[in-house]
Amino acid sequence: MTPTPPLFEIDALQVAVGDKQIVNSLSLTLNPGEVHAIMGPNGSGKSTLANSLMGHPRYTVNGGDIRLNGDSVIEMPPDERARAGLFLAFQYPTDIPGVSMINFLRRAISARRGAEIPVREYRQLLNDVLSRLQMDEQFVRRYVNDGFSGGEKKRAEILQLGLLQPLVAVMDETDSGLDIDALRIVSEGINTFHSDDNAILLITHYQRILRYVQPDHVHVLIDGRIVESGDASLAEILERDGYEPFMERTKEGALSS
Amino acid sequence: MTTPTVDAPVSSRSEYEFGFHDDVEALVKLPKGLSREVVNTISDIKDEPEWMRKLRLKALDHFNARPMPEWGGELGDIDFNDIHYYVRATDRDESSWEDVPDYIRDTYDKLGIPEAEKQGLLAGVGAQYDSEVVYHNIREDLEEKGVLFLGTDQALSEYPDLVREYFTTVIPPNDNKFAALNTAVWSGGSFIYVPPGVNVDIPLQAYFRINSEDMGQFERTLIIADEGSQVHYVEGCTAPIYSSDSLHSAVVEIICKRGSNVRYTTIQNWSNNVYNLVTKRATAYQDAVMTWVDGNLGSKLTMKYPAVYLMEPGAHGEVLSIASAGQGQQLDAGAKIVHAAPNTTSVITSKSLSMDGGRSTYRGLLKVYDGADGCRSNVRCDALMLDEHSRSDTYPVMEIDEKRVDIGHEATVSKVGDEQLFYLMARGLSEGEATKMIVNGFVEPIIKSLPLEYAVEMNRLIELQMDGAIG
Amino acid sequence: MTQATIDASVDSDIKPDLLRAQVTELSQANREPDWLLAFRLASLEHALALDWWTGQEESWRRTPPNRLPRRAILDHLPAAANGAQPASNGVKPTAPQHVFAPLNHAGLVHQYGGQLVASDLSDAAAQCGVIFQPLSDAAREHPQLVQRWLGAVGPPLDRYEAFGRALWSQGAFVYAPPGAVLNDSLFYLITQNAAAGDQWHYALVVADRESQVALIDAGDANDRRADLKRAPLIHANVEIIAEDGAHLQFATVQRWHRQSAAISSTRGRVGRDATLRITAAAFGADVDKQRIDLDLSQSGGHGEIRGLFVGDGRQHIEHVTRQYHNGVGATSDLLIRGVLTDDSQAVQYGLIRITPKGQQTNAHQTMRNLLLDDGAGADPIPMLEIEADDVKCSHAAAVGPVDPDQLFYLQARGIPPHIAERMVVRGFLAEIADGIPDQHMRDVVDELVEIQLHPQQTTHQRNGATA
Repeated sequence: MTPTPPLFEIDALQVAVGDKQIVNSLSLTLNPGEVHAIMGPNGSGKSTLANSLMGHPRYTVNGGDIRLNGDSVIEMPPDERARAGLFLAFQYPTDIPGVSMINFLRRAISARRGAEIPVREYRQLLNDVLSRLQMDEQFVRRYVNDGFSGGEKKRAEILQLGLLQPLVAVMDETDSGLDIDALRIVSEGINTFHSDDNAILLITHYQRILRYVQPDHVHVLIDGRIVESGDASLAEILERDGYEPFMERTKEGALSS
Repeated sequence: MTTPTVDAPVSSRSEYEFGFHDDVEALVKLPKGLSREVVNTISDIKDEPEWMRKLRLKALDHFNARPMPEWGGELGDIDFNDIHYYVRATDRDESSWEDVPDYIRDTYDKLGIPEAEKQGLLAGVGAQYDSEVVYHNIREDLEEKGVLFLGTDQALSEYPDLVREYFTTVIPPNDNKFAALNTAVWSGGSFIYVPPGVNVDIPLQAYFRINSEDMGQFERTLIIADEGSQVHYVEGCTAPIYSSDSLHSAVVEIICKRGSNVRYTTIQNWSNNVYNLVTKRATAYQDAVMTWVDGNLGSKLTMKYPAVYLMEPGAHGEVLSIASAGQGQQLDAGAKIVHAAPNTTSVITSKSLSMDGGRSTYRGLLKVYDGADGCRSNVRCDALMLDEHSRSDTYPVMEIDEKRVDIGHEATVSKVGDEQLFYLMARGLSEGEATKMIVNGFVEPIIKSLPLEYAVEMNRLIELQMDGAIG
Repeated sequence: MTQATIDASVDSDIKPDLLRAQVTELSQANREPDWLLAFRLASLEHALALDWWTGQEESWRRTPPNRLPRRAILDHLPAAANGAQPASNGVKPTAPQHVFAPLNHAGLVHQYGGQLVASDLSDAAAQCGVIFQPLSDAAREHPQLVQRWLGAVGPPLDRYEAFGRALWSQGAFVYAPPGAVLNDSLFYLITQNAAAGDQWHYALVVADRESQVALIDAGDANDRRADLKRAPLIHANVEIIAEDGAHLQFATVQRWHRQSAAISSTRGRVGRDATLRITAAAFGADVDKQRIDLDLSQSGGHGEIRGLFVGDGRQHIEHVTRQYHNGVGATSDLLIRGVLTDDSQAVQYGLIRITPKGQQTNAHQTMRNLLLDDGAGADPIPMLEIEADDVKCSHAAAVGPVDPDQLFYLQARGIPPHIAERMVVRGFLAEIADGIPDQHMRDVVDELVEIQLHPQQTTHQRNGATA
């Protein structure tokens, strides 16, 4: 009998943008119920990692694999990954004028479920999640991300997280640019979503959000590599000492290799 | 008795769902070709006043004297001698669907017109089949208030003075070659008069259908909105798919008197063998508002530039235009606004799609006369290219002879954005669905100005066209 | 000596045999090689086979029908025909005292009435092999180069351009060899007596691979205040080649006689990854019609067209432009800003054309016209013809008065209205003027703007005084 595969595996992943190699042989395993945080300074490859996990066409995966429930998603276009249960909360959500949130969300939920969601159920679901996120009903009448403030955009991403119920959620700097109240609401949204059946990958520059969303594992990303992994206490060390000691170590490593 | 038959499609747009035609012998069908004799015969059949006959013949001379326009689309293939200029299927204009011949009523049933009327979605309905209006009806309460809504031929016989007072005052017979042609051989169309202060709260609709092969449809519509009145007129157009081309060359004249508000909505979905060469123009007097909503999906070649002449202070003109050109189509559409008085305002919003080798063109004129100070105008044209085989052109002309004005024009051409596509696909939508959603969003500013049923219909038609293009 | 035709009428009959004889005489007097005479004569036959504009053509519809002559005559054979000057190398430089002359320049050619007045080339320019001399001389001394590039931008786009290739009596040739880099601009000055009649100019500018060069082309009438019996036609052909990787700037400033009719054809060909910026500032002439054409058929090329003008009186200033994208990933940008006073009129007829080969094109157009007086008018016509889908294209056009909020802001800071208006106007034009590659020339343009606006100020003061 084969053992159950892990929920989500990043296996020796290599990602390039154009001629430039950004992510180098990065491996990570997420089991159900876990929260992982990847922390790194600017330019360490955080957004490249997030976007390539979702299959953004601008990023070329030139080595390694990404598996969800043991199945490779590397050949899947973004929509198939989403339907399979992968979710990316965008750092900079794109605005799509003319397309209403309410229409877009219904189509997305139906795509994720593989069946049209009945109107009554949709309305109920929407109202639940909206009130939980302290968002006005009028919000969904607006066009997708069009004219949204920074905080509204991030909350809209969390709204989608709650509605789509993915298996693995990759949060790309969801905390950046939020004031403390918004951060609290967004964090609560993530915590409410989180269960023993799903896993969360928080990608962040700052330690701040980790006060609200408790990570089981913390990884330090420098130059597209994980240079250190540990428990939540690693985030505190980063908070205290910054990224410099890790960057120094990378340089030394690079010199000695 | 006849049954409608569906022709084998001649274009790849096999989804065109109105491609059926009725196999029926027309009651009157003039032989092909254009001559004084043909014009005289049309006038005889209609038993018109003499001034109209003279006007027709004068217009024929204009038509013959004028060269073909050398801009816009390829018009050289139109053979004016290979067209029936008058085809009459029935000899009456009825006000009850019961009285309309069965096979014609079947056609309109398929198009859903009587049903919409029954549901009370429309304040009045007109239906033109080939050259003649076959049905006209208006809600009783509006009739009692003095609103006139009838076929233009009928109006000419019942209200000759009213027609004579306004006919060709907005678009003179020699305005352009095709307006001249229409004036010479016009038949059918709607005549609307709304008395002062009367508000026609829900739309009046007319439906234009070409049924015969090698046929030219030349309806003539005249709308007079008296002071402080309000009316919304909607027209739809379809035709069967034949292997040879048809010509539709209408003239629409609208007079918006002081303080009136007129909206004219067109959903043009001719089959891909129709030349659609239409002149539409409105004059707007003090504080009047004229809006053209123009949706162009069908036809082989469309050349149509709804115009508003702003004649007195405070008048406002607006054109909202969508064109979606697919395989084998050239949609040359746009708008013309003339600011002839101070403190007039205008807005032009155009959205065009090009796919599957289609060519869509925005052609516009914005003119501000010297002395028309305080005018404001904003023009916005956006074009979306769905594939590399298609073409998009933008030809906006601005002629500004007054300094105290605020005139802005902006246009963009782009393809469906990669980032938008990725965002939607990251939420589980397939590429096709995502593209459609982005296209829907692109045309949304125009669609939302349509009455709900038409908005739904318009979106559906665009999606249908995209299905054909994306495959 | 050929007789001058003093004819008040705008149009005149073409005399083919006379023109053939005159062109031959002119070419021989300039001691041009045979192939150049052949080029002139072939161009003449080409021109003779074409028609004049009628006003029916889309790009001519707005040109005043009676103020731009349909005329091809050689009023006089230039002084060079009388054998005045030897090769340009022999001329000792005396920097002209002309107001347009830059403080620093890498080279100079000054022509007057077809005669070379002065020429100069800096050591730096000479060392890296830059050539800058009258076109006839260059044809004789560097025949391979001139013959290779003359007319290489393509067949003439209209009859004037075709005649221009045949009838030119003064011209210049600029060549920057591969890799040559000049820090200072080259300066080409034409001064003229408008009373002397029609003029035909021809400039050929070639920046070879990865070179970097800037040319300032200035035209001025010495007798600007003379009252002429007949309005002269001043025609200029400018052919610009930026080879792969080259950076070339071309700026033209003209202050022709106010009665003259100026028509020019400036055509630029942009090579792979090359950059070409064309800046045109128009002040003189009664009618000034400029055709500016950018051919972007190589991948990665970048072209810019920048136009600036201040119209007054009943001047008609017209730009007919084309950004032709026939290669992958090229970019272009057009920016025209004009200020119109009195009864002056402007037309901008601009086309972005992208062929199916022009994928990943990024092309934009902006036309802005400030109308300062009631009689002024502007017709901006920005057109797009797009046959590739992966493109970013946009255009914007605006016409209006000076922004009253800006005026108010300045007034609220204590600045009188007429000064405030001129500040706003100069600020409005600065974006174009700043693109001129020479500081002195930027100052000159700024001054010309000021002079052109000056009557404006007095009008306002007069209005203010009577109020």
